[in-house]
Amino acid sequence: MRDHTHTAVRALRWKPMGIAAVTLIASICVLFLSSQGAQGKADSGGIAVVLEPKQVALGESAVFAIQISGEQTGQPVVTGVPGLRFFPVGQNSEYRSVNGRVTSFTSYLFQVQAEHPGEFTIPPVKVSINGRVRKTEPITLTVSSGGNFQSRSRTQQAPVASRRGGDSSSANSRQDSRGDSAPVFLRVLPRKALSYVGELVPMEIRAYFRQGLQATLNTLPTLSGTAFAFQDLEKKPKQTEEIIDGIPYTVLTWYTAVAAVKEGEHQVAAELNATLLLPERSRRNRSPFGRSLFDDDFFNGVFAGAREENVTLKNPRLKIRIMPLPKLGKPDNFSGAVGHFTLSASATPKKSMVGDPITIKMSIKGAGNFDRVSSPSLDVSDGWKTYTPTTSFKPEDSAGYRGRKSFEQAIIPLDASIKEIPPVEFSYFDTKSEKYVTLKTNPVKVDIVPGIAYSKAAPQSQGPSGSKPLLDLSPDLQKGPAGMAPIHLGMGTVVADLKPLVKNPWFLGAQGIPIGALFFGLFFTRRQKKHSEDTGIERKKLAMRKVARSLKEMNKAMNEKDVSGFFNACRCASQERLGEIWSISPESITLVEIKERLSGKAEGIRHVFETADAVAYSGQSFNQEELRKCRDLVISELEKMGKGKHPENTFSTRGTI
Amino acid sequence: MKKQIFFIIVVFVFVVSAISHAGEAEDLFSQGNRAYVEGNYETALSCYRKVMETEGISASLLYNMGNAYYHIKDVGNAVLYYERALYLDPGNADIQANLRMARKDFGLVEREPGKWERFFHLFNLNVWTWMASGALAVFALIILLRGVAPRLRPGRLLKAASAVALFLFVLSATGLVLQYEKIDCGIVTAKGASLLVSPFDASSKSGAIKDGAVVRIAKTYKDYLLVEEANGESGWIARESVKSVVSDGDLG
Repeated sequence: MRDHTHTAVRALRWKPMGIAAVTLIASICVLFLSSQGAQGKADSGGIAVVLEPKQVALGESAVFAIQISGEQTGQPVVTGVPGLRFFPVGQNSEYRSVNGRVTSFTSYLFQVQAEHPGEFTIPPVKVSINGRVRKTEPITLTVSSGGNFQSRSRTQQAPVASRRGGDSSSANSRQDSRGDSAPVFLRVLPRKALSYVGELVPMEIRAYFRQGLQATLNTLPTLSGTAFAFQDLEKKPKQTEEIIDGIPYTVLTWYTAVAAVKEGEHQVAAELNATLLLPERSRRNRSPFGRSLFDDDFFNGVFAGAREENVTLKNPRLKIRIMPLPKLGKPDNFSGAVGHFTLSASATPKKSMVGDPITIKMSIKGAGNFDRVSSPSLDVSDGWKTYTPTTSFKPEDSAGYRGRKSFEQAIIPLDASIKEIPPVEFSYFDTKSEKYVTLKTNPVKVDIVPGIAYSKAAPQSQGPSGSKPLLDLSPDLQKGPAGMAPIHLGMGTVVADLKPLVKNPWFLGAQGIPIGALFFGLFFTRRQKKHSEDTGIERKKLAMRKVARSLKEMNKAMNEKDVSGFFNACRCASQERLGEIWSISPESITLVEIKERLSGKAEGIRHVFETADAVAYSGQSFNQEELRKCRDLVISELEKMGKGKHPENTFSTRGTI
Repeated sequence: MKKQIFFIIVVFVFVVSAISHAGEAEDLFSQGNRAYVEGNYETALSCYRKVMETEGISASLLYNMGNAYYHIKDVGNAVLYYERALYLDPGNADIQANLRMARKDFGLVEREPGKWERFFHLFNLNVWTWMASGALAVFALIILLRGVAPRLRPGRLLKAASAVALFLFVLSATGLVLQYEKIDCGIVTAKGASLLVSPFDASSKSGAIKDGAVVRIAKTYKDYLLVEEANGESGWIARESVKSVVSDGDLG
C-alpha cells in the first residue's frame, strides 16, 4: 500500500519534469531548425540559451542549454552566479556544409543547482561568432525551499557504495543490484597471491569512478589486515582512464607494498571514503508509454537532479597466502632479506701501507625487503682491523621495493704480508628460485707495504713558535701511547678567535683603497695614452706654450722700451694662435692672409701686423703707454678668438703681465 | 707635567696587567700540560679551556686539546681541534701527523690532497689574505703612479715589480679561495649521529655518519644543518651534532 502511494507521488512529480523536458527538447529543435533555415542568409551565426525548468525546489536541478551556430565560433563564457553551481553535462557538435561553407552547430549543456532558495539571474552568455562577440539575454531561475527533495532522494536506486547512515550495502562489487555497472568501486591488486614471511609484496590500490561523476576523496585508502605490515601511501595517486565493459572510468592508482609477518592465509582489506555528486535517475523508464527516445544516460543526466553522497568504497574479498621461510639450508649470515638481489663490491686504494685505511664499497641492488638487507659480511681474519659500515639506500620506486642499498666500510691492514681483501658475502631468500642464495664477490688483490713509524719524524718539530718549553718533561712522558707526536709545551702565537680576515668588515672596506687606486691609475694611464695619440691636443698645448712665451717677451720688451722686439713678440703670439686655430704653419701667416681670412674682424691683430711692419721698415717710435694699449689690444683679440671658436683654448694672460 | 705623569702611570698599569694576565694564562697552560702528562686528560682539557677563555687560542693550545680528546677516545672533538689547530698552523707536522693517526685509528677515511693542494695548504687563510691584499696594493700603486705621473717612464724595474706583484696576487688569491672552503667545513662530534631526509624530528633516516667525519655545511634550517660528506652523500643533521672548524665565536 505504501509503495503504491510513493508510486503515485512520483507519477505526479514526473508530470512537470516531463513537460519541462519536452519543452527543452522542442526549444533545442526550434533553435536547430531556425539556425538551419537561416543558414543561407545568417552567415553571422547565432546564440541562444534555454533554462528548463525555470522554477525548481531546493535540491533539484535545472538544465541550462547554450546553442551556438556559425562558421567560426568560440567557447561560450558563462559567468558564475553566487549561490548557483554549474556542472557541465555534455557537449554536442554538428557540422554542415552547404555550397562549400561549413557551419557548426554546438550545444553545451549544464546542470544548474542552487545552494539556497531565492531568485537567481544568470547573466548573458558571451561567445565570439565569426569574429564578433554575441551575447544572450539574462535568464532567471527561481528556487523554492520545497521539502520534497528528501523523499525523492530516498527513492533513488541504491548505489553500490555504502552510504553513511547505513541505508545501503557496501561497494564490494562492480555490478549494482540492477545489474548495471557500478559508478564507483575499489580494487586491490597484489603482484602475487602467494608470498613468504618477510617478503615485500608490491600492491596497487585502484579506485574507479565512472566518467562524468563528480567525486571528492575524503581520505586516502586505508589497508587493514592482521598479518601484514603496510607502508605509507603517497598522497597523490596516479590518474589514468580505463574502459570496462564499454564504460569509461577515471582510475586513481596508489602504489604500495605490504610485508607479510605471519604465515597462513590472510585477508587484505582496503577502504576509501569519498563524496559523490550523483545525477538523479529520471523515471521516464517507468513511463506507461514504454521506453522513450530519451531513455539514455546522457538525457538522464540532463533531466534529473543531482545529490551528494558520502560513500565508503571497499575492495572485494582478497586473501594472500603466506608461506614460512624454509629452515633447511638457511645460511648463518641470513638477515631476513627476501627478494632478488645482486651484489657488487670495490675497494680503494688498492695500494696502501700498514695502518692506512682501505675503503670497501658494497652495493646490493634488486627488489625485495631492503629494510632487512644488512651489510654483507666481510670474513677478515687476523691482520685486519674493521669498522662499522655506513649505510645509505636509494629507492627506485615509490614503494621502496626496488632500489640500491650501499655500504661503505673502512678496514685497516695491520700486516704487510696481506695480499688480498677477502670476499664479501650476502645471503637472502630468492623468491624466484624459492631457495636461499649466498652471493659472494671475488677477493680483491691489494698491495700493502710496511708503514712508516711516526716516531722517526715526530721529534723534529716542537711547535710553530719554537718558544721555550715551560715544562721539563722527558721525551718518554711527552710521547703518547701509540707513537703520537708529543704535546706542545709553549703556547705560541695567541689570537683572539678563528674569525677569518676575509670576514672582517674593516679589512674588506680597506680593500677599497687599492682597488680604487687601481681604477684611478688605469683611468689616468688610458687618458694619457689617448692624449699622446691625439696630435691635435699636443699641437694646441704647444701653441699655448708659445703664445704664453711671446706674451712674456712682449712684457719684457715693453719694460725695456724695445719697440721692435715688442711688435715682433706681438706678431709671434698672433701667428701661433692663428696658426693653431687655422691648422697651418704659424710662419706662413702674413698680413695679406690675415686680411683675407679675418675680413674685417680682429682689427687689433691686423693693426699689430701693420704696425710691426711699419716699425720694421720705418723705425717708428712708441711710448710705454702706447705699447701697453697695443699689448692689451692683442691680448683682448687673442682671448676673443679662443672664446669664440675654441672655448677650451682660453688662457690667462693678465697674470703674466 | 701632571698629565705626563698620569699618562705614564696608566701605561705602566696596562703593561703590568697584560704581562700578569699572560703569565697567568701560561701557568694554566703548563698546568694543563702537566695534567696531560699525568694522564688526567679531563683536567688538562679543563685547564686548556680556561686558557682559551682568558687569553685566546693558539695552534699549540688547540693541538694539545686535540691530543687530550684523542686519549679519551672522543674522536669527533679530537679531529675538530686538530683541524682548528691546522687552520692556524697548516704546515705543522705534529698536527698533521696526529690528525692522520686519529683518522686511521678510528677508521675515518681521509682523502689524500694533491700536490698543488699541499702547496696551498702551506699557509693559512689569513696569511693568504694578507699576501693577496699586499700584492694588490703594490700593483695598484704602480699602476696609479704610471697614470698620474706620465713623465715617470716605466723602467724595467717598475715593469718587473708590477709583474711580480700581479703574479703574487693571482697565487695568493688562489690560496685564499682554496682555503676559504674550510669556512664551510664542520666536524661531526656527536656519537651515533644520523643523517635525516628532512630537517624535522620525525624525519626518517637516510644513513649513519661517524663522529669525526668532515662535512661541508651547505644550508641551515632552524636546528638542523644540511651537510654533505666527502663521498657526496648528503642529509640533514642536528645542529648540535656538528661543530664548525672555523668558528666565529664559541669554540666550545
